[in-house]
Amino acid sequence: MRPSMILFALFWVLLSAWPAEAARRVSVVATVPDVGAVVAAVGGDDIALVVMAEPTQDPHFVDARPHLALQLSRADLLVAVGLDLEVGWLPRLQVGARQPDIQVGRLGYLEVGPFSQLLEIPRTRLDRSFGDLHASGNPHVMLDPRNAARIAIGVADRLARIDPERAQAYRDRARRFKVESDRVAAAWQARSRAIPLERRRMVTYHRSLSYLANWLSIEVVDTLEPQPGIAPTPAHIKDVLARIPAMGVPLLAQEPWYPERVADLVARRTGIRRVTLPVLEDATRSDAYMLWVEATARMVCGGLEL
Amino acid sequence: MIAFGVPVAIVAQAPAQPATVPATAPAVGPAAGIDRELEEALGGDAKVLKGRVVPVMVDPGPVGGPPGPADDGGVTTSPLMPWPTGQGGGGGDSGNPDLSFILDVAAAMFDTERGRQLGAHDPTEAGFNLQQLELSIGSAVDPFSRFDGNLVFSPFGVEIEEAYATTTALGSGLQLRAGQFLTRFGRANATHPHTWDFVDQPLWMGKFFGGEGNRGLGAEGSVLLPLPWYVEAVGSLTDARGASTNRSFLGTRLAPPRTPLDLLATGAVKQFFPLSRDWSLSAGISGATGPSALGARDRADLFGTDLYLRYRPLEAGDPTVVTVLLEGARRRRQGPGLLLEDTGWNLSAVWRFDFRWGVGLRHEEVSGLPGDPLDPAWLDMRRRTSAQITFWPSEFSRIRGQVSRDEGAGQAVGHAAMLAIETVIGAHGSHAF
Repeated sequence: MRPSMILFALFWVLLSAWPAEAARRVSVVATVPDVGAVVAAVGGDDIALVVMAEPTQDPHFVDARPHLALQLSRADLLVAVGLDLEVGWLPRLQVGARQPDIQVGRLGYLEVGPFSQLLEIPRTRLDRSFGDLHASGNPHVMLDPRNAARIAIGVADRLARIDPERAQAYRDRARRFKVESDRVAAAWQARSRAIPLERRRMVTYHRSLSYLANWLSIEVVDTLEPQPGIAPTPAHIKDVLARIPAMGVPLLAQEPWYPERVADLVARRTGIRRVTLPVLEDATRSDAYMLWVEATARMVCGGLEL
Repeated sequence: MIAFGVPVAIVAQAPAQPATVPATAPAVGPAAGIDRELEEALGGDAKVLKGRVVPVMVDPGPVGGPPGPADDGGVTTSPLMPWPTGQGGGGGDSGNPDLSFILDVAAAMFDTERGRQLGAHDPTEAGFNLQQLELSIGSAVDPFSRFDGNLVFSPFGVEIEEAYATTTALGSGLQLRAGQFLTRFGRANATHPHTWDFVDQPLWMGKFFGGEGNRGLGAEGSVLLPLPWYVEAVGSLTDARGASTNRSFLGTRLAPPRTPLDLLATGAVKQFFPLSRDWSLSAGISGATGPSALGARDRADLFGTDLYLRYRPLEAGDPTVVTVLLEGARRRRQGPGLLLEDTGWNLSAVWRFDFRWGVGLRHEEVSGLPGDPLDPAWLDMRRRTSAQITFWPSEFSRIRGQVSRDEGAGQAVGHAAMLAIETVIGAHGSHAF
C-alpha cells in the first residue's frame, strides 16, 4: 500500500472515531461554581462540564463576556440557579449563543434554585426601597447540603431526559450524593448545636448566608450592607459596631468576592472573629461540593466555638 | 401538589438532537413509528418538528428521585416537565414583559451660546435638560423568538427608538432580527445612553449618522461562526432615510426606496478574545454602504473599527474595572463632481476604582471638509476632550459630573460642564459586553 493511501485511510479512521468519542459526553454549562460542583457530582465522567463564573466572582455581577456565549452555543444543557440571581448577565448570553436547546423553557435549560426549600420569599409588596431583593426568594441556596441534595436529584432527572442511555448512572450518583449530603448535614448540625445558643450568632456582608444559617441554626444578626446590594454606609456600619458587642456576636463571615476593608475595620473595632469563606476550587471535580461545604461549615463552627 | 388537568404539547427546540448527545428515541414502545404518523397528521410541519415534540402530560408527583415528599421541599421535577413545579413561593409571573423606565436628566453650563453636543439626547441647553425618559420592554414572544423595544419620551413627543423581534430557535449559530433597530456598526452605535460612560454621544457618530445614531427599519442576519474563538458576522439592510439617523445617506429625503440599492447595507465582524481571567479584548470591523443624498446614484460608504480592552481582576473583593476603547470611522461620499472623505474617532479610558466611584477621560477628533454641504462650516479638525467622575449610589442609579473642552470646526474654544443623574426602575434586561 502506498503511503498516501495509508494516510488517507488513517484520516478516515480518525475522522470516524472523533464524533464517537464526542458523543459519549453530554455538554453541560453551569452558571456558577457551586451549582457546577453539584452537576459534576451527578454527571461524573458522562458529562463535559464548563462553569461560567469564576469562584472568586460575585455571582450577581459576572461580565457577559462573549466567549461565554460561545460556550453556551455548544451546550446541551445550561444549569442556572435562577430566582433572578443571574438576571444581570445570563439572558443576553443565552440569546447571543443562538443555541435553541438551552433557551428558557427548553429541555436544555434548568433553573435549580426552585428545587430548594426557599427562604426569605417576600410576603409584602416589593420595591427597591428594600434594596436589590429577589422576588422569588433568596437565591443563595447552595450553602445547605440538604438543598444541594434536592438539586442533585433535579439535575439527574434532567440529564436522564437528555441522555436516557445513562439515566441510571445519573440517578445512582444523585442518590449517593444525597446520602453523603444527609451525612454531612447531620454531622455539622450536631457540631453546631453543641455550641451554646447565645454564641450561635453572626454578621455577614450580604444576605447570602441565610441558608447556611438555617442549616446550622445560626442567627444572622445583621449584614454589613444596609440593604441587599447597597454598599456599606458609614451610618449603618456605626449601627453594626454597636450591635455586635450588645448582642455578643462572635463571628463576622463573608464570601471571598466582597471587599474586606470594612470587615477588617469592624473586626478591629469590636474584636469579632472575621472569616472569609473558602473558595470553591475546581468545580468540575465530583467531590468539590462536599469538600467546599464541609470546609465552610468547619470555618463557621470553628469561628463560633470558644 | 398541583395537578394539571389538560395535556399540553410543547414544541421544544428547533434543531434535531445535537450530535454530541446520544440518540434518545427508542425504536420500540409507543413512540415507535411516530415520525410517519406525525408526518401524516401534520403534513409539512412534521418535517420541521421531527424528533422535537415533547408531550407534557399530567405529572402529580416526584419522579425518579429517591426522596419522599417530606423531603422535597414542596418542589419537585418531572422528567416530562422542563421546569420545577410545586407549592408556594417562586414563579408568579403573569406573562407580562419586563418593563423598565430609565430617566436621564442633566444640569449643564456652557461658555458658548449653546452646547455644541451633537447627540439628540445630549444636554445642550444651559440649565436643566431632560435628556430622555426611556421605556425599555423585552419578553419572549413564543419558543421561537423574543421582542425588544425602547420607546423614548422627550419634550418633543414619543419616539420608537427600537422595536424588533429576534429569533431564538434557528440553530446552526444563526439569528435574524427584524423591525426598527440600531445597526451594529462599531461598538457604541448599538447601545443606549444609559450604558455610556460619558454623558454625551461621541462626535463622530453625531456627524456621520446623526443625533440618534444609525438606525432604521429593516432586517438583520447574524451568525456565530463555528471557530475556536468568538467570531460573529452581522449583516443588515435598513431604511437609509432619517435626518438624525442617516444623515450621510438619504437624510431628510422622503421618497421611498425604489431598488435594494436605495437601502443601507451594514456589515460587521466582531471578535472576542478572553486574554486571561482578568483581561478581555474585543475587536470589530464594520462597513456600511448606502445611497447618498448628494446626487442621484451617488453612494456614501463608511468603514469603521473598534477595539475594546477591559481589565477586571477577579481577585476577591476587588472593585477595579479599567476599560480602554478606541473607535472610529472613515467616511467617503460621492457627489456630482466631488469626492468627500473624512475621519472621526474617539479614544477613552474609564477606571472604576471603588464599588461606588469611577473616573473617565475621552479624547475625540473629527475632521472637516471644505465644500461639504452637510456641514458647510466644519472646515477643519474638531477636537474635544472630556473628563467625567461617576458616583453609583446603587447599581440602579448613577450621578456623573463631566467637563469638556471643545475646539476647531471653525468655532472658538468652548467649554461645557454637566451634572447628570440617571435612575433605572423596573426589570431591565442584561446588557451586551
